[in-house]
Amino acid sequence: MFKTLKKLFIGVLILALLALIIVKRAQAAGLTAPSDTMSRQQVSQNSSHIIKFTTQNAIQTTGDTITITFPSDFNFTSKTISTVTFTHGASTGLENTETLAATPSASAWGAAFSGTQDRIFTLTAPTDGVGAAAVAASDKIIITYDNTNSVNGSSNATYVISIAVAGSSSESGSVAVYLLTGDQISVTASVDPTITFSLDHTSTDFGTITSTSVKTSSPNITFTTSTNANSGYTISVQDQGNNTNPGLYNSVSSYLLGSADASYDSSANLDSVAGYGIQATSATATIAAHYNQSSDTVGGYTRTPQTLASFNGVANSQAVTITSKAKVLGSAPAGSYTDTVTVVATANF
Amino acid sequence: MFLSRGKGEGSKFLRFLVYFLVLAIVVAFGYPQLTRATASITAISDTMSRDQISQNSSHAIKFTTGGAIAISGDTIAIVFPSDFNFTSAVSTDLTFTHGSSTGLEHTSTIVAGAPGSATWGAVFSGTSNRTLTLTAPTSADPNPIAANDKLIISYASTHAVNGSTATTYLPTIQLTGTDCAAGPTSYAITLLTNDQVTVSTTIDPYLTLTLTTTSVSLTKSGGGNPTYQSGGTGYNQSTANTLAAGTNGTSGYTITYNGDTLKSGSNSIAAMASAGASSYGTAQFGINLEANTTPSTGANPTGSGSGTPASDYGTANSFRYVVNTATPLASASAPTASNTFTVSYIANVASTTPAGAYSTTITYICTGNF
Repeated sequence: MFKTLKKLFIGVLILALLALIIVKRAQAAGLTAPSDTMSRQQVSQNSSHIIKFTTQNAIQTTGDTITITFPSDFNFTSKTISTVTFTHGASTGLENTETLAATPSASAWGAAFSGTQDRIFTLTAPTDGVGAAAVAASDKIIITYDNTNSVNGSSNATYVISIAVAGSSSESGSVAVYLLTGDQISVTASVDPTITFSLDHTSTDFGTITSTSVKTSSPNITFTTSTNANSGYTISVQDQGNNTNPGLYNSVSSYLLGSADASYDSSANLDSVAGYGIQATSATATIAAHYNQSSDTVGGYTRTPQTLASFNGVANSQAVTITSKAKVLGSAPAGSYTDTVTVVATANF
Repeated sequence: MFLSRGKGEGSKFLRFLVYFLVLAIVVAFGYPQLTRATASITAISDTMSRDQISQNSSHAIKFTTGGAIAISGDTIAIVFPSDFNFTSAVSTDLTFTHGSSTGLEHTSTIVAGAPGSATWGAVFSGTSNRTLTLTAPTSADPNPIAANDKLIISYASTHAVNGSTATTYLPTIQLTGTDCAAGPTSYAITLLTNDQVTVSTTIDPYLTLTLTTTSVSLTKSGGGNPTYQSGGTGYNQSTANTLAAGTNGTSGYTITYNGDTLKSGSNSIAAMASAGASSYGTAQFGINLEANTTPSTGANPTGSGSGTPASDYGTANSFRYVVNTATPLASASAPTASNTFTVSYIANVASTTPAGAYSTTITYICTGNF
């Protein structure tokens, strides 16, 4: 009887030892899906790191540690734990954010940099093993370093970063990153300046002008301007007149119908005085004040270029339309009157 | 003639006669014995699956018989030395082939116990079944074993346990029968404490990324800066920018890009937030990884790896660019050899796109997913 019991006991003991060995082997398995997403892969360049992996075992016992070891040549000197984050969760790894402190407490994980140039970073489980939330088996873990005091190695090569979990369970893994001499592409293109300018008509006719009513020429003339100049464009007008003063000129009689009136004022109301000038309109451009008239008031031309309209910015087919009006004195000689107006568009780059 | 001779000659004759008779008897009865004496067991080998002590192992025992084994009652006996263990061995653990060339030409059927009319009988006996006796069929063997045939008797490893000492062991083979009697003849096998070598190595993770060209300039076909008119699309014509990536990461790699759109001071050329075609006269900045015809630029991915462009960057003549966000550009989902991707950049301008020198810097990142 005693022998039978003894054999039974030894059998149970052997089974228990085998079970322990199997469990230990399971615990020693490697963590899975490690990756390190960096912000820069250039040698000797500051870079952030998003280190992500999946733990096979729970990490929720006091004294459990997670250690990340960067290879020689990376430099984290003066890096502080405030530039590190630690999150974990079953789905994305972002579900729970742990507080980090110099030493572990019931509510915080211990976090410390050590080793040459602080290449080793160790997280130690809270004293209650839980912190914000217990790290469960199969949780995704994300540890991020910002790029402050986080300098890449100096060689154009593959580097291997080690990740280890120790304590109540043991797991390890590694991830490779590759550093380049240059990880950026500079893309350049130049856009040439452009301006286009067109007039829909190059002549307009008043017909017969009288002293009794204000006459409008036909057709109105529209200027269309496009430019990619940053400061837009300016349209100016310059009048020929009699080559001395602006206005409609009868060369046979050497008589000039002054613009905007006989005194060459900048504007005139032709209801009350004889004269000649224009009104300008535009949906987009800014019309110079003395051409921004209505009714029978007109702005007068000058013998020198004078701004008609302008626009501050790039322009796409912007239209400015001028309407010409005139009225003569009863004493004005009969005959043919003409004038030539020169229009210039200037882009302001 | 001999009788007419004297007594001395008769005596000589008698002596001659006696010698003759003796010689005749010797020749008549001795010759067959001399022939049978050529029966032998040669070229013995035992190919085992394991040479480790106390380990199950198969045996392929091969030898050549000098005499035919074709008569009912002929036997082949294989005796393993002390310490080998064939307890529970059964006839189905065995195979028996023979032939003149390889020994595999004919397969004889084996049954447990006594032989049948056309089947060999197999009996395990002795301590731990170390003795195997095969007895020839009771009638004519359909494939009789001829003199100088090769025989192969194989034991499966199921009930065949090696001896427990690392030393040389000497099994024996014995043939009994009218024409084949030979042996017991021994051969040697040697056992080791451990016959296996564990080979291990660790493969470090690796990831490679190569960028050619660190700057590209976008000009229109035939040269000159991009314009809003037909043919005015700017692109990287002669400055191909390639990315080559490979990894042994279990889940492959992901290449992302991150950067602003083309800018000149406060002016910018609008990035193509969704994939679309190049259209002159409309402000656009986009990239892709294909061979395009509009404009004529770029190349399809090359290499033996499994890497592919992300969906919005893998169609010819369709471009996209996401501003200031790490955006996947290409990836592989498993360990892969290197693939080379050629990045095509296009810029279109509107008539209102301010003149100036535009530029941006794009950062490429390759992350291994191990």
